Formats: sequence, structure tokens, C-alpha cells
Amino acid sequence: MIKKNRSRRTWAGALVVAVCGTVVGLGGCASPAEEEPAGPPTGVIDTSTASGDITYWSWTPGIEPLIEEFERTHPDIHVTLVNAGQGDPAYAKLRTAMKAGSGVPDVMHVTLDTVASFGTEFLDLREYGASEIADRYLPFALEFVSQEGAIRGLPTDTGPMGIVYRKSIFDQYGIEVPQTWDEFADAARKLHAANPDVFITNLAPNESGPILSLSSQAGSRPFQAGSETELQIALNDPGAKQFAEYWEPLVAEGVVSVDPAYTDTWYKSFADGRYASWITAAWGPVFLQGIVADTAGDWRAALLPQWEAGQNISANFGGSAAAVPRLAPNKPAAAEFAKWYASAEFVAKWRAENKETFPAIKAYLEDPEIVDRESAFFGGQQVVKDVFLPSSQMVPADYQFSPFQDYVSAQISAIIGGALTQGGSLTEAFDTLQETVVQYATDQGYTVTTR
Amino acid sequence: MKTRSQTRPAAKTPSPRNRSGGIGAHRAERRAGLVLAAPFGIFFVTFFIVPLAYSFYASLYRDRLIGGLTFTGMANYLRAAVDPLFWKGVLNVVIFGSMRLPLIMGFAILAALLIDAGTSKLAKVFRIGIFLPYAVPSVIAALIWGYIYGPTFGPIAQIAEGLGHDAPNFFSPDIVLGSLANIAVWQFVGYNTIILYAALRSVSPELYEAAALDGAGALKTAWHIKLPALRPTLALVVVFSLIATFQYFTEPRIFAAMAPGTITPSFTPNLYAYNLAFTNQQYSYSAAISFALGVLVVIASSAWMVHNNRKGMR
Repeated sequence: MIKKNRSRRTWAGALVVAVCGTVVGLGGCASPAEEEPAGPPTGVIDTSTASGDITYWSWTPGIEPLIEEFERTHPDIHVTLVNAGQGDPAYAKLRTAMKAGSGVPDVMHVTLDTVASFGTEFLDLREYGASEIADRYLPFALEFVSQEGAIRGLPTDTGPMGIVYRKSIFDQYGIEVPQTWDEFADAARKLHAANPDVFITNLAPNESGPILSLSSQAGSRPFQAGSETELQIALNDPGAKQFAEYWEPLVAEGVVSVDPAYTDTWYKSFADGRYASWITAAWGPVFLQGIVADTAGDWRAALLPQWEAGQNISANFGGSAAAVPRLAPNKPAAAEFAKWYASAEFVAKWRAENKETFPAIKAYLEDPEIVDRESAFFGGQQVVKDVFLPSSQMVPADYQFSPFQDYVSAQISAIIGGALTQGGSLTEAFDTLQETVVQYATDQGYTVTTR
Repeated sequence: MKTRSQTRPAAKTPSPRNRSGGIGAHRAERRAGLVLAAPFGIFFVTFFIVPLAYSFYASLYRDRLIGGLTFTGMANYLRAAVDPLFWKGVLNVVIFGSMRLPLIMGFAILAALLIDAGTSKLAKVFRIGIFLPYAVPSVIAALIWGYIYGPTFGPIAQIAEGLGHDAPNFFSPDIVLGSLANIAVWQFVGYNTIILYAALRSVSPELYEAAALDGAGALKTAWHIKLPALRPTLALVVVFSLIATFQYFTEPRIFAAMAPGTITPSFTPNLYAYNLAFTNQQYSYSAAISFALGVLVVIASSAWMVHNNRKGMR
């Protein structure tokens, strides 16, 4: 996620052009560089003949059929699947193993926003032939895993955002699907006035993802890497302030709830229809299916509201990658698995069908089996075709995460989350967040610039 | 020891003061002592002394994402000394302790006296019932109480709503320490009760007889005999409780997910050390915070013991 060097710019640029051909007015559609691709580092290691045992740390439940398929097609490689926790707990274990120099997995499941935080602790997969498949990925997804030209992981799925809502609640109170954020705010007030026990949505104070993603839709670009030691930080930039000024009154009026996500209250609120919608990513419903089984079929998805009518800007929230740690015991087999897991058609289709995950590879977004699929959870709606595919094409490709995203997430929960739950000023909270993170980055030795 | 080294050689030789034989037996005994103590010693060194030394060593460095590891001597400690986040955490555990300590000890003394006085089968049921929460792992306890405190669907909120009132927000900054102290009381009264009860059982029956002869009733016996008999044990359990208070971690760690912004990453010193290491990647400073916390614990418990010894001498 650090500065794009020539080679990165070129193929990323080519991908951006592909997207810009269909969507107009994107911030990410800068003119591509003209240089020839510098190519991967010399001596690409062939992984097709790799063999031996590897360990894969992943928290996605029920992916054993994928492992079996890999072992069937790669009989010389044996994969041990380990669930080391979801997200932060898994990263803490991984960092501990890296620090100790032993017990590091061969392949690691890591969310797209955290790949950059591990930096050179993850191998540059170009050394293992990842360049050959790099141009198959959605540009914004490739941007998240790229660092100074290196490919530190391969995207396995992405999280184009949308609104997932309860049709019956919207219908009951005469709420139209909002096209703009102004309409969304009106709907929020109207719905809560009609029934004080129902909120149009919940803005979770402990989840940095949607806070950053929705700010990014308003143009926020909090991190821009310069050289390896230079970092521009603007967590309180105009986009972030626009996000804050929009949500602050809605929270203060109490028409939007602020319950922490993934808690009892949160799950039960979905089950009981206390929240009429969830602003989330394509993978979001996976978290709901078991909980709100009674209401399956009543859900619909729609594109994110726009800040200005007629705009076409979306955002990405979540998504994952497969990365190979520098200390992986069996690197060639690990790289072979990572490449397969992040690109095989079998995996993409199985995951779309069973986990509602959205592919990271462009070609699969032309596959009718994935695109035209009718989701039972969404009452037969073709959610990929209607919502998440167009959304993925509206995600700006120039967004960068920090090289210490676990820290930033924790501070967002503490500072922005604190303002949300305790009624403080949200705009001031972003200033505090900016100060805190700048202080931390400076302490960590970065040359920090602000804007 | 003395008897053995004197009698054994005596059986062998006529001289009772055979020195060489005495030393031989002495050596064998010392060897046995070392062998018996070895398992403890190995564990103590491996899992206590070595990590302690290592973390002190680590705390003398500064590790940065850019620039790596540099030796900085006591700089981390100087930083901790003026770190408002650290001291706010210390203040939090002090407030928390000032609520939980007297409550736990008060209830535990009362319960121990009640169990000791009771002879019916009810006393046994009561004893088990009061101890049961201690058997619940603290992670589970925190989750249970997190549910009970739940602002929308928690039982307290539901009952309050049924009565037409608003339940207090147990996760708000003003009362979250009280909510946490309540969990600690629920969890630790039983444990302390059992220890205090055991101390009461060791009181010589003669003392009770004497008291009864002097015409003391149950209350007077409790006041003049039982309570003073509890004092040394009480001094000990308070030390345990003090240490647990300063190292408070599990419940706030679980509550952080339910009350973000209130339970900040530096809410208690131990939570701060954990987050410094595993979220902030500031391992060296984390080691320094841990060490500084250890020093505070030693100071606090020593102060308590000195205070108690003085009181005992009076």
C-alpha cells in the first residue's frame, strides 16, 4: 500500500482503464502510466511441482470441501486447516508466532484492509508466479494487496457495499429505497417517528470498516503512502467530516441506533426487526442467515445512497486475501495453494453459492452461474447482478489502508465509537483520531505529513 | 534432621559423635531435598524468572515499525511515569478495587460466620451455592453479565421497561466500574468465604467453651473470638484480592466489545499492556508497562502487609 512504483502503476492502470470504460466520473480513473512493466523480481519459482504439508489459518467456517478439492487436484500437497480466530485475535496469534520465529502458518487468511499492516512479513508472491494472474483481479482489490509493486497476498473475495433491508418493514411504513443520503435521513426520521422501536439502521461504534468505507464514499482518503518511511495521514479530511456531519444529528436525534456489532443485542435486533436495514457488504448476509432464518426471503439489497443525486460512487468493506508469511515452512506449496484458492473457478463458484461471497476476479463477474444467481435469502432477487456487481464497478481504486491498520481500527472504536455512544461531537472525534494516529505514526518512526 | 544424623551412626558405631557418618547422611538428605525441589525450581525458573528477566530486558529497548530495535535504557519507564493513559488505567483499578475489596470481604466474613454458626443442612447448600460462581470461568461470567446488563434485550432492561422505567446504562462511563465490581463480588465472595470458613474451623473449641462459660452469646463469641481469629487469614486474602485488582483484565477485555469507547484499549493497565503488544506492536513499551504494573502491585501489597504487621503488634 506504499508508493506505487512503475510496474504497479502500469498494470493497475490498465485495469483502471477497463473499469473506466464502463463507469464515468471516478476518482480512481487517473491516466495510466506509459512505462513498460518492470516485471517481477528475477527468477520466478515454479510452484506447480510443489509438494509436502502446509497449514492454512482461516476462520471461514465449512470450507473443508474446498480443501478436499485442492488435495484432489494437488495430490502431493496436504493441507491442515486451522481456525485461529476471526480477524484481530488471529492476527495477534500470527504476530506472536512471527515474533517467536516458529509456529507460523504457511498460508494466512487476512482481510484486505490488513494486508499492508504486515508489510514484508508477507512474501512478495510475484516471486512465485503471481504476476501471471494479477491482471485477473478487480483493480481496487489488487490495490489493497499491493505494496511498492510487490503483491503481498491474493484477494479471495471482496466486499462491494450496498444496503441490505427488510422489504416488509419498508413497505409497512411506506419507505422508498433511498437514492441519496438526504432521502435516507428523511426515511430514518419518518420510520422512527412511525414506530419508536424501529431504527432504519444501526451505526456500529465498534466496527471501523463501515465508518472508513462510508467516509471513502464521501471522498475521504485517510492514508497515502509515500516512500517506505513517509506517510500522509488525513483521518479528518473533508470526506471524513462530511460523514461525521451527516451521522451526528441522526444519532443525536436517536433515529439511528448505535449498538455494537456482533453482540447479542445486535443479532437480536436483526431477528426482531428492530433494524430495518444494514449498510454492509456483499458478504454481510452470511452473518444473518442463521440468526434471522424466520425472515429469510424478506430481505432485499440495494445500492448505497449517493451524496449527490446522479453520482455513481460506491465503497468496499471487508473482503479477504490469502497471504504467505515470510517464515512459512513450505513456501512453494503455500504459494501454490494461495494462488489456487484465490483464483480457481471451483472456489469462486462454491463460495458464491454457499457463502454469498463476492468474487475478486473479474472474469467470474461475467459468469451467469454467479451473476444471475437468485438468492433465496433475498426473496429470489438477483443481488449480484442488481446490486453488488454494479457496486464493485463503482469502488474507487485509489484507496489505501495504513501500515498499522489494527491500531487504527482500535482507535476508531475507542474514539469515534466513544463519541457515537456517549453523545460527543463526531466531527471533533475525527480531529482527536487524527491527532492520536499522527502521534502514533511519528512515534513509530514515520515521516508524517498531513493535509 | 538432627535426630536422624545422631541416631543413625549411633547404631553403627559406639561413638555417638561420628562426624563423617553424620555428614554423609546430611549430604544424602540435601540431595533428596534438591531432587524433590527440582521440579518446582525448574518450573519457577522457566516460567517465572526467565520471562521476567526477558521482559525486563525487552523493556530497555524501543521497537519501531520504521527503524527497528534500539537500546534506550530506562526511557520506556520515564515515558510510563508520565503516560496519562497508564495512570488513568491505574486510577480505574484503584476505584474498582475500592468498591470490590470492602464488599467482597464484608460479604465473605458475614457468609463465613453464618456457615460456621449454622448446623442445619441448609448451611451446606448455602456453602455450595455461594461458591458456585467461582467455578464459572471469568470469560463466561463476563458474557453472562454482559447479557444481563444488555441495554435493549437484557433482563434488567426488559423488567425496567415493563415497569415503565428506563434501565440505567450499565456500560456508560460513569457506572461501568460499578457494573464490573458487581461481577467481581458475585464471583469472589464464595471463594473468600471458603477460605475464611476454613480459618474459623481451626479455632480451638476450648476458646468457645471458655467464652460460653463466661456467658458470651453467639454475637459476642463472633465479635470477640471469631473475628480476631480471622485476622491473619483476612490479611492474606486481601493481598490476593489486591493483586487480582491491579491485574484486572478478562472482564474488561470481554466488555470492550459491548462497550467500545467506554472500555478503551487502556482501560486497565494490563489491558493497556496487552493492546500495546498485540494491537499497537509496541512490545518494548508493553513490557515496560507490565513491569511498572508489577512494581505498583509489590508496593501496594507490601504497604498492606506492613500496615497489618504494625496493627498486629499493637
